Amino acid sequence: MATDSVTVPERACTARPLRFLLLLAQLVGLAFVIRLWNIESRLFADLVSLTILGFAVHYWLPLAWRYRFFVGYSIACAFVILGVKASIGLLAIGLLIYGLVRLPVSWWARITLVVLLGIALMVARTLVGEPWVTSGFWPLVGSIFMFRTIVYIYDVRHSSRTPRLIDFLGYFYLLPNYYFLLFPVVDHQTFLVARDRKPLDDCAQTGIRWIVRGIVQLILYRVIVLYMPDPANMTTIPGVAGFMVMTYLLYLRVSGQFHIAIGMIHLFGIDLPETHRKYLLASSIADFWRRINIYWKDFILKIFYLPIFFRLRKGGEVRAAVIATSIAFLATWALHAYQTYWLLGVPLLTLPDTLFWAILGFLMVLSSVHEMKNPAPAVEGVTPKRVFGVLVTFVTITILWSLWNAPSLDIWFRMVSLRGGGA
Amino acid sequence: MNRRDLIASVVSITVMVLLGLAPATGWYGSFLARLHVPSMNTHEADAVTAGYYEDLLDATAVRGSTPTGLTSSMSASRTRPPADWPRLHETEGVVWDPDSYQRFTLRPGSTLDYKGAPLDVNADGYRDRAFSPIEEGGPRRVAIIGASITMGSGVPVDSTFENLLEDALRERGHDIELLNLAVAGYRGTQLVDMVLEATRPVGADAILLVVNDLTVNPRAMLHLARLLSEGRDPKYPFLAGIAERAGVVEGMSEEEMLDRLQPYNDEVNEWWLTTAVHHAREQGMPIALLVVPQPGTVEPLRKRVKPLHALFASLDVPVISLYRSYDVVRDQSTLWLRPWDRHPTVEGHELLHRALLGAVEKRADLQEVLFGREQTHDD
Repeated sequence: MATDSVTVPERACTARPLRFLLLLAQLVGLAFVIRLWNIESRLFADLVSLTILGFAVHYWLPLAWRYRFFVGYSIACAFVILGVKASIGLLAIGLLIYGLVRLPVSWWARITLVVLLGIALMVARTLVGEPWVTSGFWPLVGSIFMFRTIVYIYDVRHSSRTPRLIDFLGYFYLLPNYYFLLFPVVDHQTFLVARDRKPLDDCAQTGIRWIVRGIVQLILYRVIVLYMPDPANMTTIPGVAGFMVMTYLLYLRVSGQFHIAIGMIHLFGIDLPETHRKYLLASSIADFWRRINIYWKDFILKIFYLPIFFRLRKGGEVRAAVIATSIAFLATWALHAYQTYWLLGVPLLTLPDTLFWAILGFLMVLSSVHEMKNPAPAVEGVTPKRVFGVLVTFVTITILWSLWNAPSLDIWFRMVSLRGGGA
Repeated sequence: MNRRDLIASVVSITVMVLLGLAPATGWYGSFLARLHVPSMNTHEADAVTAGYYEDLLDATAVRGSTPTGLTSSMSASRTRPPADWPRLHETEGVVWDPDSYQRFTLRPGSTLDYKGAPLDVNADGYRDRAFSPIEEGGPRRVAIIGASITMGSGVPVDSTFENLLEDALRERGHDIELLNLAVAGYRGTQLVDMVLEATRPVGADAILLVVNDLTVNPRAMLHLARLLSEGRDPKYPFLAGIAERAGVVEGMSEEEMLDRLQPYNDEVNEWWLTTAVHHAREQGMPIALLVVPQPGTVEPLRKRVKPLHALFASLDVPVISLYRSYDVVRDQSTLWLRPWDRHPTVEGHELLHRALLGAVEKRADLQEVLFGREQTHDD
């Protein structure tokens, strides 16, 4: 477990000014690109400026101070970006959660209290609005706490160490999260060990690469939107197919934002893993699940799949995997509705959404069982089998994705039956 | 430091900077320019493209365009208008009439400097060149009715998109005169009155009716709220009925009245558009609708106009949307008169004119409105 003491040897100081200038020049170039291309919004441009400023200071600090600076700076930036009222509200909620977790009572009593707090906040999300809180406050609360609290509680439960306040603050109050409401479910354990395990120069350069990747994906997203056809006019197979593909490719906006968010955290020496890995080249449903939103996959794996699998394994591994996978996708469906409630104020409970997760879960069960019964080393590179797998997976996901994003089953059926999918 | 990452990042950043700055021309330049605009939907695909992630991400985008915290005060200081930045109804260029449904009209013959450009009101009481006398065999007279963009706030009269279009059509041999009846600040409930009352006196043969943000935004009912708060007659029984259903009573403040009337926006929009179109048809005046956005705020207008599409279809009138007019400009904020005033500049009007001229050249239904049945032809 990483601590604040030195875990990585410091590089020789003679090369540092040049490396710093190289990193800073890239970041300034990125800031210029963001303004030149109007990436995201004005608030995002301000976030980027604050991140670069923080990086510039953080880089020169002694290793022992860096994490503390990151925590303090992130919290201070909340007041700049979000305003005093919202920041105090967020801090109050966080400290309340931390306080409940640290109460000298039984573990189940503590969990119950946190759950009750969560329910109270969910009710408040609906009932409490202006002038007490702005309309943007509750989505922020949800974005920061809705999933990471679950992970945090799980890790604290299974850890013998006393949870430290500074670890809590750093984990929850992540600077990019003040802008990106849809945010990767950063794993708590991973966050703790990711600090300063890699030389800062390498970590920051990786972060810059991911920010660049994210910006390129956001620009590609604009190309998709520019040429997105009108679904009402989709009455030919190529037209419907093209529309479906473009609907799937709209996800570039999500993956782009996630790359940028985690890339920004890298600038402060926190070597978190990547969030997406060439998901368009997945060669099976199981492979797709492992490549797209990796943080979500790890979250579901940790909280739902593995505990259930290991509990049921004695009755047969295939049976355990089937049940665990089914429950994992049921949880994914429910938690996506829960996420929509926090971010938009209404839970998403539609037939297309339910069908999407049900079908994807079923296919995932089939794929997982197939992999279990036919274990084979992962094949990267271009082979006929892999190419076929990539094509089939791409087509399957594209069709399912169009179903997921259709406002209703009727509209989706109209589109796939070439009668035009307009509302 | 990973050398491969460094090289890949530097190359990518350099390419994006060069693409962003390079003056490209033709279709490639137009394509690059459009990529600079953050929110673009070329077609009305919201119903299907706004899926799970799009809805969640749009929530971020909306919040991100509304600065909070310290950035809010920083941005507000950049965009707050100075105290002396004029609003038309506060100038000497208008006449207030205590009994008038419109509340104010332009003062005929007045001359003033308005938002950095001369604003001369012609003898007929409109911000346009002098209208030619109405005579048999004279040019076809097309009234264009709208608000501040159409009136040409902040741009010289010869640079408004309306007059640029008139000049272009005349150069092409059309005997046409566009009569600009637009008044800054007029909302839908006022525009319909212009159609009913103002088009005949100026001898209009056809009408172009402009739909813009003022007519569909959440404060579209402000005119009615002001009429009622000032104790004036709402004139039209439909509007009086709306006021009654909204529970608006004497003594309420203007804002309270507006709050109560706001839920009836859609219904009132349907009323004034339908009334205007039916009246025009009864009078034998072909009519077309123009949707005219402000630079940099195209998407909000598109979203607000979308619910009216079914109405447009039922009215069976030509509808010309000028949403793409500004797409060739990388940063549409450069088309604003000032950082706090998003009316289009001279360049913005030129872009609107080009888009509208392009529509005239391509659309037979619009040609029929502008030139009449006998003169419809392709240019």
